[in-house]
Amino acid sequence: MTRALKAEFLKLKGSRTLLWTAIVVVAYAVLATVLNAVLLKDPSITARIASAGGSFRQAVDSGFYQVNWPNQLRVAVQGVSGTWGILLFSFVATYVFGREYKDGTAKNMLTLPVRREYFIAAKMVVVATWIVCLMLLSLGLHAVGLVIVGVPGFAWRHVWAALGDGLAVTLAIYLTLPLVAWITMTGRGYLRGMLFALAAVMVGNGFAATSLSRYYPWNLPVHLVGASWMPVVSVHPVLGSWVVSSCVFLAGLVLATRQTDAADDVS
Amino acid sequence: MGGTATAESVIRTVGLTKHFKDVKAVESLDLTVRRGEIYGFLGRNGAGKTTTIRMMLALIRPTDGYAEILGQRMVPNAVRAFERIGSMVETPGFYGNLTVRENIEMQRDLLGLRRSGWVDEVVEMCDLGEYLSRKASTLSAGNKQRLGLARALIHKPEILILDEPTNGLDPVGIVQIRTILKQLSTDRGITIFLSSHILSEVQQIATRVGIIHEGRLLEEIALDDLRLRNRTYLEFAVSDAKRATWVLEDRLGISDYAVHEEGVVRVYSGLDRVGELNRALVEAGVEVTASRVSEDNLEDHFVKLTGGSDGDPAPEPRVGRRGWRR
Repeated sequence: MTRALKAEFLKLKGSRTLLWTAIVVVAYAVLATVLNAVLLKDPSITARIASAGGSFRQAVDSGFYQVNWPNQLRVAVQGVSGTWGILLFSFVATYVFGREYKDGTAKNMLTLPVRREYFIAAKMVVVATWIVCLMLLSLGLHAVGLVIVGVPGFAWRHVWAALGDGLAVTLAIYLTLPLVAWITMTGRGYLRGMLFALAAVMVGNGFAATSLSRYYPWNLPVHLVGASWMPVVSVHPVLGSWVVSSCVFLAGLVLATRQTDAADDVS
Repeated sequence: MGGTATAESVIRTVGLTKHFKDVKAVESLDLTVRRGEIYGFLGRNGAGKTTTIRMMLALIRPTDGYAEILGQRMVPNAVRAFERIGSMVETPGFYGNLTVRENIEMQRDLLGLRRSGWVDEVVEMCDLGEYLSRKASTLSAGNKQRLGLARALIHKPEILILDEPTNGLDPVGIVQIRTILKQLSTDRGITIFLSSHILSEVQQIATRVGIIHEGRLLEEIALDDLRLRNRTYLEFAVSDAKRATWVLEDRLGISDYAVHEEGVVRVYSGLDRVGELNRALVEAGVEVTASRVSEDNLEDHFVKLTGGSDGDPAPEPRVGRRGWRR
């Protein structure tokens, strides 16, 4: 297992994909920082946003557009819990699993004297490390942005709260990733896994406001902290939400491991 | 599970079958490879060579039957067997963002090996020394093939399974790989199973061949046996094959001959009468454009077994007594 783990981390050395995923996070943080600067400079913008009515008013009323530390750190976490965050993390999984097929290395990997499930486990550890780092990078950059813009009211408790939320959201997304990995392996490349993740998110968006949504693993992150498109959490997760997500996680692991038994099967 | 292979046979497939929906890629394949052999697995493109190798390495599940290597049934996680097998299936894949050295070292780590002189020897043997610091993605097809071979050899396997190992190599590279494989077989006693559709290559290196066609193993034969079985003949390229056969039969009394495509006549007896044969043909107005003493080679044998190059059965040569050769 240690050998597989070491190899899986080494495979990322010098990988441009690491850089690209970081760039996406940086871009989001920069955008948020610019928005904060604008809102601080001209508070009347908030009123204008509220005048659009509907969910915009609801967001303004809930304080979503107030530029302060707890709000803006929450926005940072919401960046992860929303569609783009789920898709970004799903991309990490499709990359880690799909590249073995795209680069033609799967046949070598699976003829090594290392149990195939060890590779699955090692890859999931790599995915976990990668996405936690992205979440921390997002949070850190947002915090730096708030310092640069000069947002008042810093307190460490806001940072810890955001970190807790960020980890919970990351975990909720992570629980969906073995299934994405399995779909990626069946497609022997990146595309099928990404399409699956996109479809899963879209389906979830369709009934996100219903109570049933709390049991849908791809909606769990939204219900933990909201998302930038749905800042107000109206459906709260329950224990059953985590149970369902955990079942999806285990099912994904089993399917991905089984898939390695037919790793090169093109039938 | 294990233990059914005899001490002598190190690779064995029993009724190995793979169907891809309606396509019967491999059908009831029974083959045996003995320790120390270089076994050439021959077949045209699409004959089922790669599918067989994939099943042997547990990369795909057989529809029926099984493969055993070193007495172990080849199933996923046949870890003990994989410790003793080196393989390269089709074009080898690498982590393009890593250097050649890192790719090799990763393989070494995964195999649980410490750095040893053998790794350096493999690098040198495969002529990779000058590429160690280069990204694997920048290697030429030939060098990728060499890197694939180096990776397969790094743990001193007892058995080497190679699928079209000379694919993408230039003539010098082909000779190099052939030399390496011969050396591995002779010096280290490694059993080598290699698939190819380049018959001349296999003829130069293999000790035994298996010929697969449309998923079925048509024959397994030692090349020495093949040489004994095949007869020496005198081959003429002539302007008028019909007239040439008349000369052979009516003027020289030779009936053991065969007429092949495009005015090629092969005479199987009277090989000590080359001068007389030539003279008789010329005197009868048959122009002889080429003549040589030859014997059936692996290619002839392969074509006889599997049919012509276009996939149709090979045309039978017309034979002595102006009829058809047996």
